[in-house]
Amino acid sequence: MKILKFGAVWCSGCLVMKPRFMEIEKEMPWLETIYYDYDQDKTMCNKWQINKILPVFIFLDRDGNELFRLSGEQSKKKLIGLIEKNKDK
Amino acid sequence: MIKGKFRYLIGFILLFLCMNPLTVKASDAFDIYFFYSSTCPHCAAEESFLEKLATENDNIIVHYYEVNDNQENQALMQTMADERAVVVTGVPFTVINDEYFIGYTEGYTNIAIEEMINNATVKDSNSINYTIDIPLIGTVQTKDLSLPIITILLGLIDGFNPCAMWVLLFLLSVLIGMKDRRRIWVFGLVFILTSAIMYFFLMAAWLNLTMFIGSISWIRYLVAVVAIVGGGLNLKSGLMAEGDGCEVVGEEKRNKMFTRIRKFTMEKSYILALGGIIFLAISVNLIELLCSAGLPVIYPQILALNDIQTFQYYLYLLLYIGFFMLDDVIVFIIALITMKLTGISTKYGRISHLIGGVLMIIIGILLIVAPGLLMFG
Repeated sequence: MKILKFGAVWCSGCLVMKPRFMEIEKEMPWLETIYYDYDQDKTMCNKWQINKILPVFIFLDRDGNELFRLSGEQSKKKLIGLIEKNKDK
Repeated sequence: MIKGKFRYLIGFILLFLCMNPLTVKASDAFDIYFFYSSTCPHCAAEESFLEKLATENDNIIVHYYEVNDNQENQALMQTMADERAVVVTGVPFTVINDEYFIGYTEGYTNIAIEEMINNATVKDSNSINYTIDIPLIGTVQTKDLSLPIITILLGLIDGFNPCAMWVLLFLLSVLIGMKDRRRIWVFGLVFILTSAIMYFFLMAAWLNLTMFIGSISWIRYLVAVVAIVGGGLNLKSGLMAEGDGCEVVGEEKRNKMFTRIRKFTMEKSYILALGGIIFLAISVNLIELLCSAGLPVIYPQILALNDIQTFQYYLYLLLYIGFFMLDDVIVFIIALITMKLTGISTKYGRISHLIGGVLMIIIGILLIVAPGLLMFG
């Protein structure tokens, strides 16, 4: 499982999520995440249709298919629960 | 269980009801001291008016003092006149609280007396005779706290509106990237100060305009409509929000702003760069003023309704702006210390929409039906 994270420097909610995700990545070193900046990585943003609310977290299976996505600020507890549940997909 | 956003709403309404002294009734009698002469026709006219007034209103007590043949009454009139630093040039002489009337003109004095009584009754019903003890400050009357509380509350609500924050965040991100702490200090401070000064002048201008044309009631109704519509919009965006996140700002607007910010911050000449930052702060705040859903217009109207000294109006504006800028200042200070950008959760923005929405609608309704209830002092 892999998580694509989309955010921007001007987005307060994205900045709030940054340390939260850093903690999760520390606790789950096997977790693969990639960050894309909304203003700099236009191709990826268009590909994944990011256009309304930031931040966006897209959960992908091992084949790169989207499992589901979350928009806006999320709690660490909720994220960990979802990662645990989907880690073998 | 009451869920999420409704819990905040209900909590806030309860808080506002606690703060607003609507339930207190004026139980004290209202005294009018009427000094007259039995030979004066104007006194006779006022006497019938006051008798009628007292009959219609149980709370009004008129004290009659004939001064032609009664030295005791003359002395009392003199004392009351001295207390109000007035020379009584004739009768009737009417005293209501700190105010007084010399003479009586049908169609003028009677209306002025009625208005004065109405205002005093509203003020009485507004006043809570409770006091609270604040450590280090002492005993404070709760009615004296209402205006500062509403000022802080509205300032915070306006400040947590996330519209203008994205520009400051982008500016700080560019400055942090330059790894120049001095530039962050100077440019960040200039941006925040310019925003505050501009907001202050805009609100002060509106306050003066409101006070200058304050007697024209349609201005009050206009502000009331702005408050109700703005409140409705705030409430809608608070309730309809899909989650806590940042709405993506339009591509063209964003790019234009980013180009300017980069250009100004990279400018080699310090003076030109500062000029650019000031220009940026002014233009951003002018554009984003629309985003505030009318609070900078509504708050001065509330201030204008309160009978305080001139310098106090401006102190209250400064208090409002202090809390309005609070989130910006926090983000700026953290960036300065840590050289990292920090965000303030958008959850607070959503809560401020909900609370602000309810508050603005209540203020709008009060401005139309009972403006006296917004006279806190």
